[in-house]
Amino acid sequence: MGQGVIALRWTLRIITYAVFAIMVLTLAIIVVSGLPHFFRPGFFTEWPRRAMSEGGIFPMLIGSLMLMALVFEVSIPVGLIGTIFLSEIAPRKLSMVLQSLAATMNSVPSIVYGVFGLSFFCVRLSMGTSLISASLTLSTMSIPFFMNSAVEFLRAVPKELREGVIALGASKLQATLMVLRASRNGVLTSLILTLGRAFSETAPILVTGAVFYTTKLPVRLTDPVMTLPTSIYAIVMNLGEESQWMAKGMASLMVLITIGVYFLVQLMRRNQRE
Amino acid sequence: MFVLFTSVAAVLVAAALFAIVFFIFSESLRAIREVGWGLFSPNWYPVWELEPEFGVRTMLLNSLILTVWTSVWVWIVGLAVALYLHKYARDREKQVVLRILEYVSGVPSVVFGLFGVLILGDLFLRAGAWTAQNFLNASIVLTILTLPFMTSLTFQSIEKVPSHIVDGAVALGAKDIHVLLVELKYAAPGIVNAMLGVFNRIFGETMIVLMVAGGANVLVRSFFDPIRPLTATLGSEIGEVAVGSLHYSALFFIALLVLSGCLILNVLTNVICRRLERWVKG
Repeated sequence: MGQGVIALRWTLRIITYAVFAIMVLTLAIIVVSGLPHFFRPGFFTEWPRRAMSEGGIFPMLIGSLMLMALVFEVSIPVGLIGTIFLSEIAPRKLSMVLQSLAATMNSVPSIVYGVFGLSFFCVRLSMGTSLISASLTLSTMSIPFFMNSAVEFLRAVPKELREGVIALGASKLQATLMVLRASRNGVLTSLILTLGRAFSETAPILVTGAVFYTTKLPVRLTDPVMTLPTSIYAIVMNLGEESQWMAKGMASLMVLITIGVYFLVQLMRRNQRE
Repeated sequence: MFVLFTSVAAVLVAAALFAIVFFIFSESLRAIREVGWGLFSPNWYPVWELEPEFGVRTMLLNSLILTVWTSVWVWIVGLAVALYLHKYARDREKQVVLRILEYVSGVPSVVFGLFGVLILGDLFLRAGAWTAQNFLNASIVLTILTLPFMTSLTFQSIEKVPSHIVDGAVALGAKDIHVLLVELKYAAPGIVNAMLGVFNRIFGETMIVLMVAGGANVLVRSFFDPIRPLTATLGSEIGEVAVGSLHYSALFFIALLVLSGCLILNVLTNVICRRLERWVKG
């Protein structure tokens, strides 16, 4: 082996290890700096008090969960049906065009979705700053993301399975259900990733549905909502030292949830391979 | 019936993209009509009562400078890590690094924003910088955000190079370095795709520049200058503006710029990647 190759290998190795160390350190700092606050009494169950310097994160947590539930309800049915159309029904050409449209939508920055949601859902459809505007805006974003990821798994189902089922006299609908069942692991992975992404998006909710502080939980779809990511932003930007612990706690929670989500996905991927 | 039903969902998605373009364009029409080329003047004083100014030039330049500078670092480092993982790493190393990168890729950008403001910002002040939130800080945080994306996409496309190509090169007596070049050539479409994707993500990223970049609308001259890219202005002002005002419309013009940048980049990516694929296949 030449001198040059050894030098190259070591350079690459050092860069890789440095990147690895920085990434681990970043995650660790965020998690560790927020973790102790989990054990404050009432951190998960109380409302924030005194300009977010006391109390807990209960309404933000519930707000985020409600938003997720709504996004799930809107985007999974539409996304799944769209995916089925792309992989099972549409002619190849059309499917390609639609898929590249979905890929394009995937690369549109999230703030653009937020601004679109503001002008379309909040103003034009007069839904105002509300849970429903935010969830529809997030869904607009999540649907192409889900389709783009899930369609690969449906396509990966061998053609013989479809032909076999049809040859046995199954209808198109039954054949499609068969394909879905064969690719369920992949579809589930896409679903988890989609929800994870919707959970972590901040800019669109900030513009369309979130408020810095409300005194009650949203009970109607047209009520504004407090969420974890937007509250982190609001605290870091607007409040002083004595409130920062709450932002750190929420950030730590979000990172732990993210790691949990990806751990699950990695686990499923490994199961599928075996 | 079933066919019709499913096609509706797909059409909905296509319609959404056109709706986005249409709404953002139509809301920005007022600013385009009333301000005209003034939109590209350097000053942005949207709420000044006497003579409001809606110039995006400074923000646009800052956005581009920040994006280009950060992208170049992410490209180089990401490529280096991907090459190491592909060529030299043991299986265990590969798994651990990729797993950590995947975790980082899922972390919400607002959390990285908090990291930049509270932790890196503090370090900056201790090191003697005169601002905690500045160009360099934003650039570092954006690098952490996009490196996993660059690395994993690049790694995947290098791994996908068919083994007979590599074996062929070795059989012809190619040295390690030349084998590497052959692999890079074959992975080029994927790598370029990843590079442009990184550029796109940094250009459109909002939360981080909103929190970490500093927010001053002056052209960047040093690493420690606070800056305000396009998306930061959009994110911070759109929530408070009166709906239908000229300011509102000017903000939609900014959104239009960001959106068109993204769409142009998409078309460019497709064209370049197709060309490269043709070149690779000979």
